[in-house]
Amino acid sequence: MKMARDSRRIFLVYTALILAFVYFPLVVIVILSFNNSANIGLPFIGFSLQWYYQPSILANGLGGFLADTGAISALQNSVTVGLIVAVMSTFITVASVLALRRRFRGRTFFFYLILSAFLVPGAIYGLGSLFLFQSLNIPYSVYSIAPVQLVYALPFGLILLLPRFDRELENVEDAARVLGANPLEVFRRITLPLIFYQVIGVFMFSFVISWGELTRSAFVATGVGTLPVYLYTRIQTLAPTPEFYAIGTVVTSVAIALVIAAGLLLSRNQRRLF
Amino acid sequence: MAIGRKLSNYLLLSPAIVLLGIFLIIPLLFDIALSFWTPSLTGYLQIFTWQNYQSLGLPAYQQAIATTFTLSFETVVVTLIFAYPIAYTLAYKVRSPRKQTLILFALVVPFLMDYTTRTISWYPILGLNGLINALLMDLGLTSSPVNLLFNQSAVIVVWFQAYVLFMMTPIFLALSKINPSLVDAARSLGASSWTAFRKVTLPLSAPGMVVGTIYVLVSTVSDFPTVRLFGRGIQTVGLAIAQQADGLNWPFAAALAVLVIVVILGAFYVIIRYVDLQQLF
Repeated sequence: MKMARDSRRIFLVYTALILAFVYFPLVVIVILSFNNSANIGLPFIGFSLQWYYQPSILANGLGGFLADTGAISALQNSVTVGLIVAVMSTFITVASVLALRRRFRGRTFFFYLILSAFLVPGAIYGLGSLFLFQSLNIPYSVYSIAPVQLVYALPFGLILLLPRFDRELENVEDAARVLGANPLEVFRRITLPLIFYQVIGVFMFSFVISWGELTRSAFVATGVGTLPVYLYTRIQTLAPTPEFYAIGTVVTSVAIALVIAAGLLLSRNQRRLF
Repeated sequence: MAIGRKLSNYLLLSPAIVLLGIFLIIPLLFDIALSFWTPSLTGYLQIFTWQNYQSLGLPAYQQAIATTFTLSFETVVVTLIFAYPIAYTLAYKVRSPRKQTLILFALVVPFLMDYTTRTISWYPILGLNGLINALLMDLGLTSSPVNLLFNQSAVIVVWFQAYVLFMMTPIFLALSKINPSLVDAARSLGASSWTAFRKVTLPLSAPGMVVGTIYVLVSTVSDFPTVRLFGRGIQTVGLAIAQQADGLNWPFAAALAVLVIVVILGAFYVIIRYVDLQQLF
């Protein structure tokens, strides 16, 4: 018995170590974003908020996040695209899952069709999207990024929502049907309230997917693009400053807050995520 | 009734079908078509050629293809080795579902972080005046900073952080579906716990390992920003695609893309002949 407890402890410590490894760089950049130095590495000289708000003094773009017009418009784009992707992904996911929960001819095919966005490498998908937009002469904008990210967000939504349709949920629906509710009433009064938290979870997850996506978006974005595209474009031409850490801290905080909120919602009434 | 029900299924799926048809299938068909067209200064001319595929044979690209698959393979092996014990812990050593969900979400966060931030967050650690070098010099192990960035190991470290979750989650799913009485049966028939793990648990978790491997493979093969920022001088297929696309040599980029897709689909086909992935869902 003691041995079993020891082995459990070893496994838990191991998991904690891996988590620490994964989070360590994040902690470091949050700290360094407050560094009073233009150097992106150590040492930490002193506390300063300059990388968050101070206007650029030199022509080389050394300034704070809030004074960086490019970063601000990228931020606005990120929010716009994120909301478009989240709203559309939620509707499409719910509609698809309502069909895929049933058994019918072609179900497996459609299931794998939606999941196949997982199987197509980002650069290859991005390249194909670039060809599509070019050949149709669609100008690049925040709106051209949205469908590309949406395709990538759908499989995540499917995986989050489909397992919610279990035996238990079906029993409640059957009960309502027996009591004389029509299909629309069943959906509105029974199904939707029961899957509500998962639907909100899909919305938030899709927003966060869009918020951090780069490999695909980089092919179909021009100008400042979304925040990841903006940062990636800039880091290739200018030496990074702690402003990157400041932007990273803000962007990551938003993502973490949303993921935690989604997590709380999804684990409501003790439901397992998967 | 039956026909109405069938119709309603397709009606409900129609938004997804339209979206994926236009924005996933057509782009992939474009990849294939362009790989057979002739490059020009403005992108491509619709004249058939094999030339793009012949260019894949150039030593530089042979090298890039070899590097890509070596790097991805190494990342798969590293994530698999480190992720398996986490999945095992989560499935068997953490009892409350709430804690399981919490740990899962803790692992999701690094992936959902903005891409560039996640990547540059390794600069202050691996860089010349980074933490590790400061530590090494304090300990007197080295007198001048060692360059830890811009090599294959740095790329693998960054990828490990980004993708370990995607190896862990499917293995966790597979492990939680294993009927515990199978392991009990093996134990009561005299197998040691290690033998029971090796002969029962490990083979039954194979679908999870396969799904994780596919996801990590697919992601790393095309993950060019990490290679560009961390592997200065290293050329991979993903990076070559991005560069050729920037340089408007679209048909050649398309040929590289088709090559990767063929390799991945081939690997996928071989794998699903041996492992039934539907068990996971």
